Amino acid sequence: MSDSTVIAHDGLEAGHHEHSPHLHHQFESVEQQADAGNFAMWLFLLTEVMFFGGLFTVYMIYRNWYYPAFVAASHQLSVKLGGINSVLLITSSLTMTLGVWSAQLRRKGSLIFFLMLTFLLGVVFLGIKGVEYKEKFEKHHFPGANYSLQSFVNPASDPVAVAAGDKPLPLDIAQRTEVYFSLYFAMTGMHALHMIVGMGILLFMIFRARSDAYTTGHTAFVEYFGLYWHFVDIIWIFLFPLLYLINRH
Amino acid sequence: MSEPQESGHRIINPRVSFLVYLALVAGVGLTIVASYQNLGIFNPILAVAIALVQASLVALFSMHLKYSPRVSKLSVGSGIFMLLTLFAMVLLDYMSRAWGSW
Repeated sequence: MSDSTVIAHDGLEAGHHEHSPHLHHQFESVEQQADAGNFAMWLFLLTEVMFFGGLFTVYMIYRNWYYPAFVAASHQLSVKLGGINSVLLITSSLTMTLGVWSAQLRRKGSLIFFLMLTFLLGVVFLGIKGVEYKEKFEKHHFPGANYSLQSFVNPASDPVAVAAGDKPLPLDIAQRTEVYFSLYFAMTGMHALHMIVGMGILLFMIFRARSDAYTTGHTAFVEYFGLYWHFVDIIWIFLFPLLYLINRH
Repeated sequence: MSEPQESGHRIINPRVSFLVYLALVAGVGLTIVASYQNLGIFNPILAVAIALVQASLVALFSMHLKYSPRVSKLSVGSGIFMLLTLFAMVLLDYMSRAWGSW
């Protein structure tokens, strides 16, 4: 790098190339360091894949066992809000990509702008998710002692179920809708938790970016965070059709 | 930009990011439209297929996997293989016992 400083070697091995100030001593080159970091980040994401994989496995089994209950319960979700959230999250992935690009081009202003935009899109996503959760709590569709089967044993009493053309379910099947909502809250809740953690890191990066932390050639942190944020996007890409779009026709 | 970065990673042209973005949004639209058609058994299959294409686009381009070192590609490949193996083994167990009886 043209602006890097040459580090004096005190040992036997004299470096043949200029050292980047960002190169840790255990690595041969910046390329090796970047590859190692990239590899490590992917390994972490694979543990996350396994974690969510467990939830998806439970989903698959119960969906096959209690399919009519899953259909009726899924009809309680708003495709409109879910679709808007999908687009919001995909857009936040784009702004994150542009943030990484800004850091690589050393454009501080645009990096901060895109990080803040990413954060903002995350806030709106969680806001919409909150509206959806609130409606579920009000209709007593949150699993637990206050869970209500009203919408499923007597769909005529619920405009949402009427709009979806739901037929009354026998009591034993209707009770299984609680399994669906347990999975709905577990999966979307865990997804939301990942977003909240990500947004905390985003705030930290916005704060650090103001003092040129990522725009002097050291972009690794922003890149690794980008991988995490895109991963959270991928989880939602699967959650949306699996939870919202069961037997809509 | 030819100047080497500390990251050593290739810089992705924003045009690629925008194209991926448009494809992903189109995927959301497609999966919603498809879910309102009666395709029988193919409804969930199509939904998962669209999601897989979307996820692949994100992984390959947004997450730069296409331009990542081979060891990262191999790890992701083996991770997905491991996940599918676990899915298959768990489902095999359930299917060979009491599938659909409740």
